[in-house]
Amino acid sequence: MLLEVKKINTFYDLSHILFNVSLEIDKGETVCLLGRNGVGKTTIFRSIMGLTPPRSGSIRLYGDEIKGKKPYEIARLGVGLVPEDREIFPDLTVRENLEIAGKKGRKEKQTEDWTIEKVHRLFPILRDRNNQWGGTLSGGEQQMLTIARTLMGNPTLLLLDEPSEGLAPMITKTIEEQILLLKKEGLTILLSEQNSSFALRVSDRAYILEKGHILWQGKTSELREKPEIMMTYLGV
Amino acid sequence: MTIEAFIGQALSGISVGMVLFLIAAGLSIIFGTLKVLNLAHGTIYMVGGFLCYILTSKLAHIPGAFWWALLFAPIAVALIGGVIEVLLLRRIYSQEMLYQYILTFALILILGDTCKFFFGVGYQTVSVPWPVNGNIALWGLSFPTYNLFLIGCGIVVFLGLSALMRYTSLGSIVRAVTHNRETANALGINVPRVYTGVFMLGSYLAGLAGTLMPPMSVVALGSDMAVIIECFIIVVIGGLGSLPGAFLGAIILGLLNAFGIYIIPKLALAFPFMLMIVILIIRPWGLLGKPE
Ligand SMILES: Nc1ncnc2c1ncn2[C@@H]1O[C@H](COP(=O)(O)OP(=O)(O)O)[C@@H](O)[C@H]1O
Ligand SMILES: [Mg+2]
Repeated sequence: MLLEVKKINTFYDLSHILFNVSLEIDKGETVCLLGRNGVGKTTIFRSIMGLTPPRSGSIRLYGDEIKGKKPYEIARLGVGLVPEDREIFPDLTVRENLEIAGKKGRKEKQTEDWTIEKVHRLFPILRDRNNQWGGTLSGGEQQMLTIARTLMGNPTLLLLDEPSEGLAPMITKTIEEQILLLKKEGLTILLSEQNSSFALRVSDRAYILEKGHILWQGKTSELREKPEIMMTYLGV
Repeated sequence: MTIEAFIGQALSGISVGMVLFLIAAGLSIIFGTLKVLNLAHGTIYMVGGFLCYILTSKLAHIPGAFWWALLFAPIAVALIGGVIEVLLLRRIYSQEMLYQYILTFALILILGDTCKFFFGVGYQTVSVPWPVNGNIALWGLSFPTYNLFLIGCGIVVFLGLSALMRYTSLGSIVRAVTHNRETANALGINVPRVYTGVFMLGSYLAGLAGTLMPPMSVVALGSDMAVIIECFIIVVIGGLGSLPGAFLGAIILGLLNAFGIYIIPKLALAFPFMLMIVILIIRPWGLLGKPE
């Protein structure tokens, strides 16, 4: 098991957001978290990444407990978060945005390292934008830069928080193709979506969330065959 | 006023402005990255002044004592800054702003009393070191060499810091952490270490200013409060978080201090505050700052 989240409870101050959430991801899998706005998808990512550590429960990466570690330590162990708000650094150039996320003392490496050149092959538009300030990119370019920036840290587990949010359908299609390429490279991916058709096309398994609880889990093929499940839990 | 007196007055104002720039730049970098308004920053500058005094007087028997002080006193101040960040400040980042003010105010008292304990309440002086003592003739006019030396130091530090922030990977990391520490942290950047480094850099600049100032002024208790207020004025005029802003603000304040007394002597002390108020009204983000 690559990632094993067991019965975590996460709070923002006094508000209890995640209730005994458990999930498991095997190496090479693409798994999605489905749920409406405000059900706790981002909070799950923040919990895994150590940005809002859970009060109880455990999070294991390759069997080792990572709960309680600092975000930069978790990142260096191979977890890469692509945040929902993108959070491009506006006063760094595109190249500097990529550089600061790379060349850190990472230990075991399974795959070929991500370099600026390799990132440019996946996202050619970033090569053209190389010396532009991050703040000048369009929404789609920003999304690609955020993914590229996280890849520069050579993650083995990629966390994608609503990658299609706010993007035009054309660009969503491009991002989808790029995610499928990453999957083919052997990257393990956990993504969240409200837009279920996108998520169902790229994922092998899904978890459906409601108010901080996991209500359903199973194969995406099952969700495609039985739309009533989606109807019941997501109202779509 | 003769032309010589006019230029001399301007140079002296700008040279004090340059020393203030070093302090204000440190204050501004620390605030930008750590989001801590270090009220004790002026006191850290004063510690640099006392270290300069003690080093130059203890080393008086070796030639170039001042230059050794200029090398080591700022480093010592940076180390003191590092200890303060790691042992004290680090505990209060997640707390309300009020705790910052209480803690850094406490530091003013603690560091100030430590200086008082070791050096007493009197004035200490440091003589102007060779070869930047005496006067220099330019265009047939004569100016104090030390003033020109200070202006040179200010320009070198300004250019050096700008290049550091703009062109090095260290600079990118500081800009990234300044913009969003959480995202930087999740990207594998050791944010606590960046905080310590930036606090040490800011303290180093204060220590450098503290070492450069004594030859044209005195080392005395209380200089910290005068300086911190002037630094606040500089960063408000120039724009908090802007290095060129601090540079410009420091020159403006230096000139205002130098000439205010000739224009309306009774208002000389009030001019900087009046300018600050005008800026706050018409351009609250400062001359070279960015609006929120
Ligand atoms: N910083 C915060 N402080 C307090 N409550 C928050 C904070 N961030 C999110 N929440 C609340 O936590 C719940 C889950 O939010 P989130 O994880 O962002 O959901 P999702 O990503 O599924 O839209 C929501 O009810 C939201 O209002
Ligand atoms: Mg969300």
